[in-house]
Amino acid sequence: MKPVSVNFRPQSKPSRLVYWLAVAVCGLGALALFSAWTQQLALRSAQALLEGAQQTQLAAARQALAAPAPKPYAQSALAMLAERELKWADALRALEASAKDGVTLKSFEANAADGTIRAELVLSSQARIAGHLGALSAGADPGTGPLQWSVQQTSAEPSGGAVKAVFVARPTTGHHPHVPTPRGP
Amino acid sequence: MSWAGFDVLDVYLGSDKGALVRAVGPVVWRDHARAEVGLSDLLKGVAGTRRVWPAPRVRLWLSGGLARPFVFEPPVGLKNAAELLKLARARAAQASGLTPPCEVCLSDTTVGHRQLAVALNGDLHQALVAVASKTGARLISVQPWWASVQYKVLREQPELQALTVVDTDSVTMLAATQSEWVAAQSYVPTPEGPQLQALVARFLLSSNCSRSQSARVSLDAAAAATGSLVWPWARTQVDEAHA
Repeated sequence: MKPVSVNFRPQSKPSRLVYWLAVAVCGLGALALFSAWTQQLALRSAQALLEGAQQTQLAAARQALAAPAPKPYAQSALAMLAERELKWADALRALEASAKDGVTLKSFEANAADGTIRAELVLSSQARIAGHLGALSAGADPGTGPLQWSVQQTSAEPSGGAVKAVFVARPTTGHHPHVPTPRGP
Repeated sequence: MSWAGFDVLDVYLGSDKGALVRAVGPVVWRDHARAEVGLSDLLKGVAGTRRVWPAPRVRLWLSGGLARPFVFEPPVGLKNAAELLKLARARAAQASGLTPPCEVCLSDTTVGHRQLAVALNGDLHQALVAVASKTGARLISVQPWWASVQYKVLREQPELQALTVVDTDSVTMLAATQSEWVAAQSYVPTPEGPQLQALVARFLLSSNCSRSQSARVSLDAAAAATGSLVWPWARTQVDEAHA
């Protein structure tokens, strides 16, 4: 014979306090979930904004890297190099070779921008201009020499019959001055 | 005051009388017309009408007239314990003699073999629960008193095959082999003297149990009144002539 183990004890039901506690816990849980959800949304929005800003900054940085700003004094250095590439020696040699009485050198300047050398001379008469131009160009084959001289401007001097003429020497084709181009970093 | 403390109150409830036992103090016996009224009187007699905290814990012991056993042999094909219990409830009224509806507890919920079922009138069960709730008591167990007697006797006689328990309103007889239940029945009201002897003899004969492997235990209200022993074993006395 086995022991009889039976019990008619009623199943205990949860009290109202337990019920309301469960409701409160569920409510708090739902509130916490909703709060977490909204925080997640705000976080994602902020993250998207941050990523957008980062992308913008990155694009600007890339553009800055692609087209770097010229270094300080780069223009001056380039201008100086361009001036050094001018045919100074040829121009001075032509002027020295053509020096005669009645021809006075007033100014001598070089323009590195267009590679020309400009010499302002005062001649004793209008008629000597053509001769002096020939003297400047002497010793060099036309079209193949380093410089091609021309008269740019003439004007009569107030004193006597003197004439002021501006001679311009341009490098001939194939003798362009070598101007270095700036390189990137 | 034991009622307001954490003591466990033992309440015996029969069809016409009940008793309340506390850890300290005499056993209180009361007569009643209905069991739920008797339970209410017993609890109110100690606690009064006001509710107390913590709620007193009550072990409710039911007589064989209220909680009646029967052997339930389930048919083949039941799927689970729920179906087993449902069928046992349907058969309880006819098998136990109680008025339907019946509340049933099974000693074993294993499907497929004979087992002992205990039936209790469903309305009475609800009324007892309602009375306990109304008086602020917490029912920690509602068990047949004869089951506790059987537990004690089995500890002393493990080879026991038949047991007769006589309480205030009934005589409950159980018979079983080592493996399965043979018979279980409560008789209301309790037969007197020679009739009880004849009933026990018939039960042992029909159950194929020897008298040497049977026992008879009776509730002794007089011994209970002394309060000198511990509930519920103290309220039992082995019938020496029968043993």
